[in-house]
Amino acid sequence: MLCGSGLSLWMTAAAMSRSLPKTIALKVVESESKPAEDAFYGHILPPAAYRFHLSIGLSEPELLLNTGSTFAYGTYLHNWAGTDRSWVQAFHQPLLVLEGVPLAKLIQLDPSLSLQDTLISAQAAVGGVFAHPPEDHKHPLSRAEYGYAFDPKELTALYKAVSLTRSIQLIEARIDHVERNSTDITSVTLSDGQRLSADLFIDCSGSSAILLSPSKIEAKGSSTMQALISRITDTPVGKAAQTIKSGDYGWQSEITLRSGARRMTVFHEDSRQIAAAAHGTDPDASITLSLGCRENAWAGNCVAIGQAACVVEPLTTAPMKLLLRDIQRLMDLFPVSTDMRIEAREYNRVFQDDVCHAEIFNQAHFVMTTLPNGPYWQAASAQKQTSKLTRKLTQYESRGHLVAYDNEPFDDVDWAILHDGMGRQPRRRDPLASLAEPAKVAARLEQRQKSIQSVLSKMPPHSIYVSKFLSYLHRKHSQNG
Amino acid sequence: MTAAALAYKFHRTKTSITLVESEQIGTVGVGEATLPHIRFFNQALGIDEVTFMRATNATFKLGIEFCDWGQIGDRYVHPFGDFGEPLQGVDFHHLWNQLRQLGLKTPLDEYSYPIVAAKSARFHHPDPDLSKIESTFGYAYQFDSSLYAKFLRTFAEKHGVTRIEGKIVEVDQNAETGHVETLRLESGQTIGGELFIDCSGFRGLLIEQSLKTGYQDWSEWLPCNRAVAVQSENVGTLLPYTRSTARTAGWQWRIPLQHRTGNGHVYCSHFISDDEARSQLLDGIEGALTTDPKQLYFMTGRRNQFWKKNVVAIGLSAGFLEPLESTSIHFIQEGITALLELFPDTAFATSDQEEYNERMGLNFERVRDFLLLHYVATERDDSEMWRHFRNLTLPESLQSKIEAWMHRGLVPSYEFSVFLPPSWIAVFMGQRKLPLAGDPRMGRIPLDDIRQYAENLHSSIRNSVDRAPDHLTFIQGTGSSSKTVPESL
Repeated sequence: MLCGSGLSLWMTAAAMSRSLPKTIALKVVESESKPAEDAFYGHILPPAAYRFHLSIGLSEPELLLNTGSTFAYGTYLHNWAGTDRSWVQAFHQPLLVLEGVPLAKLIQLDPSLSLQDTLISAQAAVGGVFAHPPEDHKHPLSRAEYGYAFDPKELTALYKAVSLTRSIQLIEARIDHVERNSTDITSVTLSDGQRLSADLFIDCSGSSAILLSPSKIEAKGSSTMQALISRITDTPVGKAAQTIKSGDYGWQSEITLRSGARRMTVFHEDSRQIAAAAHGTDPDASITLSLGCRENAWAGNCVAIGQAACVVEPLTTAPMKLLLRDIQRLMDLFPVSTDMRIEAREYNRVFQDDVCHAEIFNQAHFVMTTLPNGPYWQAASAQKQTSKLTRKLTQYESRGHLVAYDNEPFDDVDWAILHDGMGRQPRRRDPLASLAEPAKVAARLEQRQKSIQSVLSKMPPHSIYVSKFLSYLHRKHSQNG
Repeated sequence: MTAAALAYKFHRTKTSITLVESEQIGTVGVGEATLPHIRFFNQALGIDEVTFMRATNATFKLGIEFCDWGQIGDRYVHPFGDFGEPLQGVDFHHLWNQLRQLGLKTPLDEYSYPIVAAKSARFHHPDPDLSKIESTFGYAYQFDSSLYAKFLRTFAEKHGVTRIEGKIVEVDQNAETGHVETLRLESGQTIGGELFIDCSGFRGLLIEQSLKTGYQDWSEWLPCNRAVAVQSENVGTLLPYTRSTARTAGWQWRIPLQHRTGNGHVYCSHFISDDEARSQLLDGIEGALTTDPKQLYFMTGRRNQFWKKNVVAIGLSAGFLEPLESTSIHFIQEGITALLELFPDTAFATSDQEEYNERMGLNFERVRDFLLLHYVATERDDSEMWRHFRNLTLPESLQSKIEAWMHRGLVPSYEFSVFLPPSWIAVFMGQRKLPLAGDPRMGRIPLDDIRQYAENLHSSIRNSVDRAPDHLTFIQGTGSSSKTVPESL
């Protein structure tokens, strides 16, 4: 039985309805939607969503035809934290190795060089152009990866439609009471008086975690975050990237869809007034969420998915990556019997790792010598740095070494881009990187940048590409009836 | 290996490398079989495969055959490759196990290209077209490690390494920092240096005898502490795989090279005498002996620190896990790779050492669990050693893996591990540890589709292997045979 609403509910339902055998009966109890909370998953689907969509039988044309989604090469952080640092946290294939040395280390040899200049997805995002990466691996654009900018409400509707093409019992009701024994949930009582039981309960109820929450599992609350959210209808499609600007209040993200822009301003409660001014338009919704995660996301016969298990700030794609991973993990560990202790143990082990690794990526955005004075930034800088992040930062700052842990949601490309974007400079050159002949390296990098610029000059603006691609899809769709 | 790798990286720089080697001190010579990663080591140094194979009498290796491990009479191969491919997201071993429960008699091994090729004594390089069944494997080598050492010594010297023949009799350390400063040889010569790589074997001349690093004894889990090794003439077909046969107090290896076969018996002295161990080994050898049996002593485990001050221990001086899965040379390679990534400057940043030690420690720990799996995933209880393992309390990291497997055929995945899920599946399945349940997603796939998929895979592998050349012909055809072409670099 799946309970809850919104993105996490229908993404999970779509995956389960597609992957599990028909002998497993699925019940979905959909409560009143809280679409504003879903904004805390962010507005960018990372490239991993492509695979998820394939697994639920959803093609890219179907996604684009049924939602106002556009393409995204990543997130453009503009003058992050009041500094002069701007960069695209781009989606990109593994970085090249030139002259036997990883590109990220070569870049560190010369402070005037930027990794951004060598990333075609970052350059395309800044230039406002887009094209699908070709299959020809020699083509510079084949190194780019992309995700989608989306509206949570539109996407939820699509996932719901996908789910309901298969046999699911849908009940629209609120959960009034959860009955339990010492370890498990035995049944739930709904607002319409029905009492339902199940072998496994999936909690997709958002941060309230109505199924999991009372089971003596406390969220590791760290801070409370406020957000204002607006839909701005008459904004044309812009860059293939989310833009994030920061101010003393916190930060503001904006993406453009075919149905206009979505703006979110994230701030500390004490800065509401200046945040509202920065938001610049009347908000459609105002939300408050406590950040933090539960010690265990699977307890007894209940699994919490998405925000029911963990609420992470949507500064990066961390919340959406975690949601996708929650669902994949659940599918991989779907119980084989009513004794779920082994599944729960493995699920929680990987869940804890994933959350930790996603959180340190977010946290690394705030490790700076000076941060703006506002309470948002002070709260962020007051977070205790985990040993895993300390190890990553120590190694990078010492010699540009990228430490990696098992199966991180953000890989070494993401970390290299982040460090470079934030202007972190290793204190010393890597001895092996220093062996590369400077002239050869410079020539290779120049050649690479030229080939990127050559490709970019032939790519259409994102808005035109989207428009033409949609026209093509509509034509094809109508031809196929 | 270390001298060659460092020489290759630094030969056009001001960094000078000195190799102090003593002919008086023999090498252990364990670890003649390797893992596929060794190819990348050779490639990184620009070493041509044919030249290397001629020089080291190497053969190709597609995996390891394990005999008598699950039960006496059992045989399975741990291949360098997967078992089948997932169908609709469900791993092949689940599909096979379901078909087996419904009466399928074909063993899992027959759905692995490298296993079928290995058992047929056939070999070819993997096809670069990843859509073909002939691409679904990796390979390693079986070679004469002392010849490989000589080959790499020459390579290192050609790339600027200064080799000094001599026995180290004294190590001078800085009184303040404790860093090693000079080595004094028996000849009276002293050699200074900034970074010292300790490749002195078990005794750890610098890392242990000078720096007193300390050793973590893992005999609790891997109690084998001795080995006896002997070489014999080749008999019969030249096999592209290593064989490991479980014995009453350990296990016996058989490694076929071009010119001879390496044999050895790794055992635990608590459960068998040296004489009995030698006798068991000699009884199990097919060809005539070409050397006298050589006795080896060791303690499984690792140094507390692999890198301390200005000394990095690589190879046996860093630690030793029995070569059941051919990891000895691999650990050398891992050590070299990590050292190059974290190569220090003269300031010797603590962070470099910490990172190196963290990384190598994880390597050792994960390999330890995989080796221990072979001893505990078994039905054998016919000797004191096997009964010892039955009652052993396992590391939590291994215990939970075994439970996950038995419960539902799941191998928890770790990115940083030499042995990935297919290796674990091979051992579990090969040693009679069949999961009690499978992936529930399998229920969506019609049984006929699973049957058809398995049949197609089986026949595709069989047909393809039948067209492949036999192992010896391939070696000769590529000019890799040491008998047909004189040794050269």
